[in-house]
Amino acid sequence: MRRFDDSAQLLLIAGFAVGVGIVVITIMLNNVIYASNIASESSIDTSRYDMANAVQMTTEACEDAYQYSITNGSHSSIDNDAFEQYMENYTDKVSQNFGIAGLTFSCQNYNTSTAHFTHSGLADGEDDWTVVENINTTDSFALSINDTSLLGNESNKVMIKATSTSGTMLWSMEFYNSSSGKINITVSNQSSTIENFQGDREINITDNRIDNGASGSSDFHFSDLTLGQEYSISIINGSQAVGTYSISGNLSTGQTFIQARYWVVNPTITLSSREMTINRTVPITLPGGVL
Amino acid sequence: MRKLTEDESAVSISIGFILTFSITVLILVTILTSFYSMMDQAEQRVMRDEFEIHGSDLAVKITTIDTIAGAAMDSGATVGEISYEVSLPEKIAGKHYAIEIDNTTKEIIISSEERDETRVKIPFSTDDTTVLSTTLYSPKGEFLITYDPDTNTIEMS
Repeated sequence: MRRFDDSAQLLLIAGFAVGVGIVVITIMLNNVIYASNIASESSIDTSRYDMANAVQMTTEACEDAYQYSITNGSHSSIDNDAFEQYMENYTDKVSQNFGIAGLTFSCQNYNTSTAHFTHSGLADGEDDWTVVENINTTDSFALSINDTSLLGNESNKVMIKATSTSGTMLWSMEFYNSSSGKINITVSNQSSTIENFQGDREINITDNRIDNGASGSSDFHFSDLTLGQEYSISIINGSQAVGTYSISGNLSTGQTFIQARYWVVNPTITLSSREMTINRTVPITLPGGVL
Repeated sequence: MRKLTEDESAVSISIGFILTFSITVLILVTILTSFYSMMDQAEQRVMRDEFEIHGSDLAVKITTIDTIAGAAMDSGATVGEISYEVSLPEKIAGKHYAIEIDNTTKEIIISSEERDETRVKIPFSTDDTTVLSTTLYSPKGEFLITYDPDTNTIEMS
């Protein structure tokens, strides 16, 4: 039995080893658990959707405000006070809604102004852009140049063109400010110029008339040259003209389309929270996609 | 003839003690070293997890700014300001760290003490803007990610 008597010190040492091991394991686990808790911190950012919502809501609000403020149904006259009043009410309501989500919203500078023929309607907007794509027939297409002094000269012509889906130009119209202050209009088919006109302000392409002329008095050949084709209508060098346009017709999908632009408004919206601030303008052409 | 287990000839208590003590110390040192190594690995893993979380958060913010700026540009709008305030811990697992934004590789590289074991690379993507390359250090704590509409760049500072 003496052999076992010697084992007591081994038991003692083993006991110490186990004790130290438990301490080490406890310290290690404590570190891991502590660090894991820190690692669980993360955040979900939804600001891009908030901003997209704010832009969409502001666009719709401006379109509604426009419908509310046009006097006597005339697109040439807007009651600016009514428009601003509508937008101020909109801003108040939306601020309250965003406030619930911890966001501050503001919308300012909603003065209407005449539009350029650019994509955004602003002077520095995109020059070359497509108005409507996949058109089957165009029922009406008219434009008005409000101020010929703002129209580009011969070296800065504005072009409106109809291009088939295969890329072939079917019809085009160029217009510019002549030295006499008139609008010089040139109509071309696929290969050459077919008509030249002069006008003061109104150009009705589908009704084939200029200003107060009789219907059909100035043949733009738009309907003949686009008949039976699927095409898109584009504007080139749009910043060189200020004015309005309206267009309606049928798409190749069978849907109808109506688009018009009489004014442009460029409000500044600001969205901010504890950690982010976004401030941008929202160019909105009025009345927009639907009359 | 004594039995082998009962034969204590040439047995020294001193040598026995020294042997027992040495073996015990050796085992203890080995165990402790192993534990420290495990702790170090656990610390590095936790660091990488943390760095990935914070790096992904930064990448999301950069992409968000790019999306908002791109959408604004497409619609012809003017961007006045897009900025995000970002709070990051000064230390992770008890150590400071560096955040490097590399526009060439389009990556956010976060590491502690320039050790490869702690380095993580989080890719980010921008379509309409350029992110300026920079290196920042965690003791700053509060960072700002801003969009500059004049140069069409995103900068973290």
